[in-house]
Amino acid sequence: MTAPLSTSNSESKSQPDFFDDKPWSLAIIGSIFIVLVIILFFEYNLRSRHWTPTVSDSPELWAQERARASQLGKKALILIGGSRIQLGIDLNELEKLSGKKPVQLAIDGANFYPVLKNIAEDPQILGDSILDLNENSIPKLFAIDKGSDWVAAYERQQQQPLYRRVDQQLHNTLTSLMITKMEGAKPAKVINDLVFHPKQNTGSYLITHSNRSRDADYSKVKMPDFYINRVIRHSLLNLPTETANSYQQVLDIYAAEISNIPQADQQIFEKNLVELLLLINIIEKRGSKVIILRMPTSKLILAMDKQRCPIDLCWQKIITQHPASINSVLEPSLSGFYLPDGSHLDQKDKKQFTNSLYHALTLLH
Amino acid sequence: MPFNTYTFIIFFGAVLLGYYSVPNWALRKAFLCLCGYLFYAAWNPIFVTLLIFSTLFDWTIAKQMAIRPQHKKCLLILSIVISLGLLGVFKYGELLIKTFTNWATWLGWQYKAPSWKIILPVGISFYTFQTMSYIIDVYRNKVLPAKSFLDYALYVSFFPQLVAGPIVRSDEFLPQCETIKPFNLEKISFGLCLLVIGLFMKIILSDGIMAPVADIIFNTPANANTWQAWCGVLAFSGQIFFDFCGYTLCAIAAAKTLGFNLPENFRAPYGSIGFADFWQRWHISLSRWLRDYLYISLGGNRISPSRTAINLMITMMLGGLWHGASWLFLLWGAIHGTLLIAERGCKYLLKPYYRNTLFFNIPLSLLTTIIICLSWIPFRASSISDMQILLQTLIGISTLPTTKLDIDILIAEMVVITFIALFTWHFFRRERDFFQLINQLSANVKLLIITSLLLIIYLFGGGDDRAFIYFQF
Repeated sequence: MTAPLSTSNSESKSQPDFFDDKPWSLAIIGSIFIVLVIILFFEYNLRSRHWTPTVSDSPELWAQERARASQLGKKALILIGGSRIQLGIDLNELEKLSGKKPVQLAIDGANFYPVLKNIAEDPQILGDSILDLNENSIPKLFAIDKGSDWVAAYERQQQQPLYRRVDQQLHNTLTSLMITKMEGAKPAKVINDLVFHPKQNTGSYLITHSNRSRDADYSKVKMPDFYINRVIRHSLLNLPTETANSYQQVLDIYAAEISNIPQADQQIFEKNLVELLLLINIIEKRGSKVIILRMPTSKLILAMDKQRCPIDLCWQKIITQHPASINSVLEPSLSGFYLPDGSHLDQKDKKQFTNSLYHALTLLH
Repeated sequence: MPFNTYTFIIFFGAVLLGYYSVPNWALRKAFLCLCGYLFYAAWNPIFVTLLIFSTLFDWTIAKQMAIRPQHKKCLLILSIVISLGLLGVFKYGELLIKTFTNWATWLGWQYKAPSWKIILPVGISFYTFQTMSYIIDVYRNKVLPAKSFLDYALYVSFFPQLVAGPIVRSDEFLPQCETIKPFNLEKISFGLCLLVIGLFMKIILSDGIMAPVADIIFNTPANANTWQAWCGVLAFSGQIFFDFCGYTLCAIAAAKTLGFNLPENFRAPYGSIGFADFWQRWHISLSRWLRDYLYISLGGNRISPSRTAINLMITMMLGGLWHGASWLFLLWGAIHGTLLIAERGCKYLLKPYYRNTLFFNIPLSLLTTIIICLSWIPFRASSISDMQILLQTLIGISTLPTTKLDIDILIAEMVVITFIALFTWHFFRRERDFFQLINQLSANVKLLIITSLLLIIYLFGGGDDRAFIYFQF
């Protein structure tokens, strides 16, 4: 066996210079060059198959934008809500038109209330806000879902070391530039799935940018399947469709059942609206404006919305108590857009919609 | 900022550019010093004041030792009390308060502890030990007080080894501050290649292969079966080696690109033959520190066999506690103390029968590695009960798991294969220096290896942001 824990102090002190000017530059420069060529090859290959870089719309990315909303002060224009405002507003166009810095805080498929509450509780938030509010979401105002989780993630992130926050931003920037790092996945998986075992060559229909704005290209999805799925999900009904022989028949089955969708409890609606307006009041007391925006819906989706909470009744209550409100369904300049899935705008209409919305907002002022 | 972050890549690029753009050596050192503070501030800017205080305080103490030799002992005690006091408050404060409260309650005294949340400054154990070694060496007349404050400040704040070592001695570092480091493309390239190897160890081998399995087993040991438990033990043994050795290699690499040499911290530890041998190969800079400043100060092996045993036990238990405020670390230290003492006895009895051949060495090394791996259990376990459950599962006497653990069989097999490869690699390069070994490779082989490692990091890296394990110590 070798020596015990020795009392001698004679071993070499520091790690000596071994390389004696041996050629290492070829190894590092050559390897960086080769790896860069390989990365560029895969990036080019995927771009030629119509794929585009997309980041993961994660709690960390949301927290990063949430922190920006505080930092920007009065210059911020904060967007709160769900997928409709996230897909429907062109942030660059909005910035150009308003001269403010848009901050996208909408969360796909989540309750907006925890976000609004978090904004109201932060005295550093001084910018104006646009709240994407569908009247049907008011009865479910206190539902606990990923909105609360993402706000909690932001609060955790505030405790993290500085380098972690910087690193998250760098990670998002890199992900937004490289297809092989799509949504933060390992490049090996992306390359394996999209280059070596491709199921489609049309690219993803949904792209998330590093500023959290999203583009939906509905020409890349199979219609009307996509629309039917949206209708089924939105209806919250589970109707038997086995007998249907065509997509139209499925839609007819659901259309026939719309009148059976229960209406929202108006007492709960009014009570929750008061709570909502209380938060808006807190924000506005700081000198910020909060504009309520009802994003457009169409076809069976709109019909279901109207059944649950008739616009004439519900929207009237909102606009009476908060006049700074715009309903895209009722506003002629905003209601004419084609919504492929009845619920969201296509990327090609984003810019025009943003323009029309901005003009509607100026009229509101 | 850890080395495996984008932030570090940008920071390091800027440091290299700035460092070699400044022609004046003193300015370069000042720049490096500033970079060290910036690097440290990336965790928590407030704690930079602690680093600066530690630097100023020990610099003054060492100077006073030279001016007032008659007060050397008092100055040494003052320095040690302050250094260990800071370490004690930040690192062991919560444990001490908790333990005191428990004892008070047990004695029937209703003591309510203050609800302080003590934040541990990253790397405090490393730079405190570094400044302590300087003061003790000055006291022992082994080194003279540093002539230049800038050199000393750089010694404490040198960013490659600031937060997780290796723990550098002043006589290893300060002489290197005397001469300007010329721009040397080959030396910088060598450093960058080592950085790639270090990052590969951390990102792929530690975080990619070992950590996922270790986490599952150690987080829910009650759900593991015997095979999974063994797999988890091997996984953590591999994880901690690749994590810490990878970090140290990155530190050595970053220093090398700046023209500095740092001491080696690992020398094929899983190829050790015996536990004393292990401690000369694992976290060498800490083992050296404990030996030179604690074990020898206690009397080492000079007094009597029983006193040697006591000294070994004290040294190893304090070495365990150095890792953190937990009784499990103390237990881990005690286990290693016991192993070292037992080994001394065995050596005495079995030495006549031992032959330095593969026939003897392979089983001995294998046995050493298995025992070392098992000793990591208290180091990693969340509680004593978790440790007991895992130990029972390892020998197949635990109750049957109620829930099946979801471990990817491919990853589990990779853990076992990687660990066997690690053991084999360490055993057969026991006597060979890693740096010499890679320097003997031909230019094409180097290119092939570095390209492969970079490509694997690109393809399989990311998606996990585990911090380096040793940052918490």
